[in-house]
Amino acid sequence: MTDLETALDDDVRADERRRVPAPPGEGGGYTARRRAALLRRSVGGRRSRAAAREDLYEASQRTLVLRRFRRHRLAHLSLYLLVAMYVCAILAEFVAPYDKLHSFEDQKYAAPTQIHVVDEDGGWHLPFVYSSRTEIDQDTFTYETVVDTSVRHPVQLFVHGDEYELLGLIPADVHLFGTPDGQPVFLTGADHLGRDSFSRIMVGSRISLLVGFGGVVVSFVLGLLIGGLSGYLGGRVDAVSQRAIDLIISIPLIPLWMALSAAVPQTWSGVQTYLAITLILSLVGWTGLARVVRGRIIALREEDYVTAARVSAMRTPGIIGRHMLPALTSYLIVHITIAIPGMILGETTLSFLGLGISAPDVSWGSLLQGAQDVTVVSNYPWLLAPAVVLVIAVILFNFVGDGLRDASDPYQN
Amino acid sequence: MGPVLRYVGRRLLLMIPMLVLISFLSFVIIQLPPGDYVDTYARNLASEGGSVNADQLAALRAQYGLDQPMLVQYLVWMKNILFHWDFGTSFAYNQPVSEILAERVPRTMLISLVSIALTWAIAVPVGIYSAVRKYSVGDYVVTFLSFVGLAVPGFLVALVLMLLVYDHTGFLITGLFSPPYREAPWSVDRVLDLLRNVWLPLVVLTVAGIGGIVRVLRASLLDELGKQYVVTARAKGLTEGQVLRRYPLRLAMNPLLSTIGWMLPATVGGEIVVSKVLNLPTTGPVLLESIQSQDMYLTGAIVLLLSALTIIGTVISDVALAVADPRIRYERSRAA
Amino acid sequence: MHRTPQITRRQFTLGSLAAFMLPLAGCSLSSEIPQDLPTYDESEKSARGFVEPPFLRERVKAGTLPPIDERLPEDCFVVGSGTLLQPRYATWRDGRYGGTIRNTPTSPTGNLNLATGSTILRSPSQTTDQSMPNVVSAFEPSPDMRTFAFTLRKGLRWSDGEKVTTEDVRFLVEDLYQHPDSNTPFPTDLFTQRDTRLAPATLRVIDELRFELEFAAPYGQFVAALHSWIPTVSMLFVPAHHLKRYHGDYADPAALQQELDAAGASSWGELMTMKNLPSWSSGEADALGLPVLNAWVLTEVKETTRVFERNPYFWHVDASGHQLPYADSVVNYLVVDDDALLRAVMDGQVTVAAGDNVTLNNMAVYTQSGEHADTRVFLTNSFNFPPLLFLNHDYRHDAPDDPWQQLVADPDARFGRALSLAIDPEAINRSVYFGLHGEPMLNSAEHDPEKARTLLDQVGMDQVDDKGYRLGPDGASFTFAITFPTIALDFAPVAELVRSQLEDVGLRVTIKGVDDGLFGQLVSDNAVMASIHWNDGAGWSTGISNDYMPNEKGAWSPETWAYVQSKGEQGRKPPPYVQEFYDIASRRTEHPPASPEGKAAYERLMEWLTGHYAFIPTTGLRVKPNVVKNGVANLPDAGAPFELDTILNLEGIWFER
Repeated sequence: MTDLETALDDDVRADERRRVPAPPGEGGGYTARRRAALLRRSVGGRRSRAAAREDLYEASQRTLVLRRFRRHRLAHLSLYLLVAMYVCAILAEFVAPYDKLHSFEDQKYAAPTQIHVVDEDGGWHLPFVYSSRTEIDQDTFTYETVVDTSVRHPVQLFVHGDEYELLGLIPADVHLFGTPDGQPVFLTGADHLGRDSFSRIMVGSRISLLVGFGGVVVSFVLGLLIGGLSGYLGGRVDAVSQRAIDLIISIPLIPLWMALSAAVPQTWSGVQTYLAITLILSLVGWTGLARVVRGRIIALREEDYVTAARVSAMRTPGIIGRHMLPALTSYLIVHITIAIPGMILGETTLSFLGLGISAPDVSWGSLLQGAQDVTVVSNYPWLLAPAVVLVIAVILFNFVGDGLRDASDPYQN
Repeated sequence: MGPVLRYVGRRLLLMIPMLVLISFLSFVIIQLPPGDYVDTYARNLASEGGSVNADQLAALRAQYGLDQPMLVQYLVWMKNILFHWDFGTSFAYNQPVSEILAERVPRTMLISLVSIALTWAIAVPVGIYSAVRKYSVGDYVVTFLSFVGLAVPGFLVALVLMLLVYDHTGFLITGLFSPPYREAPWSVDRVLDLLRNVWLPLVVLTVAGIGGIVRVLRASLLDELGKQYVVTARAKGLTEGQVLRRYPLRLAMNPLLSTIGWMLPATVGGEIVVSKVLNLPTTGPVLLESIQSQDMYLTGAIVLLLSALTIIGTVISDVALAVADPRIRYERSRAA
Repeated sequence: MHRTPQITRRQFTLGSLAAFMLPLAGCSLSSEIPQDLPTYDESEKSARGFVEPPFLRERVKAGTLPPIDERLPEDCFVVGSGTLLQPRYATWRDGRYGGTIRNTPTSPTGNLNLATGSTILRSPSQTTDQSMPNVVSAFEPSPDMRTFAFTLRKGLRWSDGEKVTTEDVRFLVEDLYQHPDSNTPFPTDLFTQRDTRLAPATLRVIDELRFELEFAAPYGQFVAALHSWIPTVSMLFVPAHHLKRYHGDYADPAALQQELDAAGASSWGELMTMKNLPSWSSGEADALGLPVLNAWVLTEVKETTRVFERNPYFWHVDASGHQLPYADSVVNYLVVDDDALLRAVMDGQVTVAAGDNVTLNNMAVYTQSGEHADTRVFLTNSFNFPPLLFLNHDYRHDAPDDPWQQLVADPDARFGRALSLAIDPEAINRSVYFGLHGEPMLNSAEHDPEKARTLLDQVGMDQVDDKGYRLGPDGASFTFAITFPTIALDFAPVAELVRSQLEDVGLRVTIKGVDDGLFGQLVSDNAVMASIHWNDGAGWSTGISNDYMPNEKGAWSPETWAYVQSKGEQGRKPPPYVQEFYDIASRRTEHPPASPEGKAAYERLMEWLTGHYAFIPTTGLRVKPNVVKNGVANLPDAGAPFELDTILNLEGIWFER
């Protein structure tokens, strides 16, 4: 054998040890491997490998980021779960088995319904629930759930139930799951009027997850713009905008919120009011981001590459956009992933103070306000489920943010 | 330090017109919600079964000066503050505002400072650990816990913890002190009682703050640690600790320092919602209550105080930033 | 490279600190303050047959306080079975001295205002028919109910020892009410027929102990005002000897200026309103040093505490020679809000929790914490009506042909009747109030959705839109908008149930909960179509409360009220059917509520209110819990008619252990 052939054999055996798969389209086996090894050693082979590396170098920022993000499995999974949450929020009425205002007779403070597959005698069935209702214990004034094991109600997918309008347009009455005969299935129990907590959490997620979005976008854009310009241009622009920020920060939020609540026209619905107030508050809330962006940009504008860009007669927005922003990206991403959950939590706090969403609209915050009660926490703790969902949503946002931050870090290999 | 001092001096001078503007703005906003304190008083009276007729309401308004146009009320308020150092009287408490604040602010500051110190003492090392040991099990646990801390609303945690303690020990936290020690003189027992009650607000406040700081520190530290100069430093033979301390940590603190100044008003103002839930005699519940009952002078004084502290805090932040980050200079940008 | 485990050490320290503190939570430091009951000899009586309270014995011995025989008037008010509360609702036992009543209100006075509000006349509970003179020793109305003659008790003294004389009444009426600079206008109850357009009372002082009040027209309802804990004794009596130092006509100018500066007041009128506090404000800091005619006097003001001590000159006694109150002191510890109050009750820190300090929604908590807190719960009826659905008859009154006006002005009141038939009080009772409230009452006693639908068809709402909701009588879409203030926990669930019941008969309903301040504003702007609120309906028949007027609580006609009050300058001229109400209400004030004419007038009044659907009860008569510590005697029995009596009669409770 020639030296080349020995070397090729070595390559093939090395490949097999490393379990490199045979190249496609050439049939399997040893021959294919030898051909591949030959290709690798040849100039043509090196050229094609080099070409692949070139692709990698010339790949756009976005492709790189996405590719790295996909490798961060936790963040990747979180993104899918988050998207699933948003889909549930949009299709809330479908996912939820009942209407948010549907109150069941004799089901006040019902405990979460247990779904069984084995009945009392040990027989196997498709998933079912027993009949149950709640009764007042006249000594303790608490509601006890009473289960009647003689009747079984099957739990099925895609049942007909309360009517609703999908996406606000299409009338429908199909729900993801439920019982065909109307026996309620309370995944997370029922509230003081016998309404399904799970359905209300689903519908509430729409307000909690979506409505504040606009506010976050507005304050994000404003904060970035003003902070960036202020930091980069310095001098008088900086001084004026900083003083403006100081002024705005000092405005007390709660009286502002109360005043706005009073000023909004009576005819607006609860959600419209909330949206309007959120947007207005975001005009006041961009200051945190602005200050940090400014801080970073002030640090960065002395960097050499910025000087170089200036010297090359690049225009200010371009300099900020192409050169300084990427260095900010990690903080911006962290900021957004904290801002959105912050918006969700802000809504919770405002509802707690009675200034946010109120009946008949429902959001996680208003549900938690109802659960913020000694009686409920002691006797009916399942009504704290919105807090669990809230925590999960926030955690998911943060994992995604983490992943994005790591993926966009230009210094990682 | 010369230019820094000049800068600080300039900023503090600017503070005065700013405060005037803020005072007027807050006064307007406080007045915005419909009605005034006399309406609140009449409503409270009505809900207890009493009633006032129109004459009595008018007399009350005249007494409190609430029948004057807003500008006049504002000018009177400003005049009293500037010339008599008199912040007015609270309608609801029937006490001078300065007295109420003198009682509450020191207490608020103590609780806030302790919880901030605890928060930073825990969060900074944890954030560093999390960044340095990226993707380790420890990192994931820390990350997860800090997210949970961020996510759960403080008032809910407070209530649940309170009831858990009550269920298991029969001791119910109803304020800073239990009834026997409320107005008692200081003693060892009273201190123990304080500890028994104050750990709950401290835990709630700290847990909420840790998450945010850990996240931000971890992110910005990871940024810095990836940079070339860190590689260089390592290559030069510095230990990890030295590498960390020399530059990345200081630069990574940049975003935290931007907001450090705002801890000043937060310390004095206290956390409103958690204080309300836990019945703490701090500034937060007073502010909330005075806003809701439109107790004008009390609200105005607190807001003015917090605004002034915010401005001072901003100056502190800027100075801290300049000192910590050698890249920052406040002179005119060379681009101009 | 080994990293020093900094965090681990810190976390360890923190963890062990926490572990150290948690056991402290359960250790022997108790949060219970034991009652310190004094031991004394009951048989040690004074010459007149009274027992000196142990709390005051030191001061009597030291000479700083006269002995009990000199402190009490010649003729005392004797409290026994049936005096404060009818015998069928409470068992009275003469008690023992000692103990501290503890409250945790959300305002300095809390509902202690009721307990410290002495009245001029006294009848058990909220009645006026077994009237006994209280502050006065004799009371005589003229047959035409225009002149009322009062005789003061001889020897009655203020809490600082000064005699109560007619000078106190004269000073109040002439130097305060009638004085242009005093900032103290006449209260509503002293106007003829409670009408501020008519003349207020005229005072005639006869001698040191006798005076007369004369009104321009028959005003029998004044008798009820004299029994009512709403205006209280401060309607006619103030400590003139004390207040003259704040009065511009009496005070030494230099001294007055000092007082003005100290208080930060700009005129003596302002100073006077700060110092002349009614019982509503008996816990305010300015009430320190103000002589009162109440069972307890404010003695200590701290940041979050108010301490009241027994009034040595209180003229109520029991048959065994004890001077009331039995409890030596009252301590109010201020809490931030109702949740904190609930926790204080749970923890057993409150001696008597009743009235608006408790709510039926929290029954589970009260019963579950009973053992730990050493408390018991009993239910009584209430002075307040349950939540009512108010209909604003003035809504959109300025738009001609407005469908709402058509509906409420209907002479047969069919729309109102339809609403009341659609509401299911039993369902609301079961859902929100554990089924404990009373039977359906007044105009919502009948529940018949079918009849409701027929009536709605009859008033012209027989057409429906594409969603199935009824169109208004004018053919346009119609929304029944309910607004309510978020002042009570039960309003929101009641509103939701009412909504679903009204939607059941085809109406399109929206509900909106708003802040109380905003609600008041909306009412003033006449922007509320319908609301949920309560009022003191159970106290109307005896005249103790009069909040059926159109501007009160849910405001069923605020604009006509504004018109009447402003003598025609603002608001809406009352349409004939509303004018009818004003006439009936005026007529009613002519007679004492306990008289046959008074009762008949009250019947007519209720007939108008229910027949015209000013409001519709959403459920049966209200029931309230009372949470009291074990070992407290002379409390009302379960089923007593008014929860307020539990607090009004605190002077009579005593501690058995």
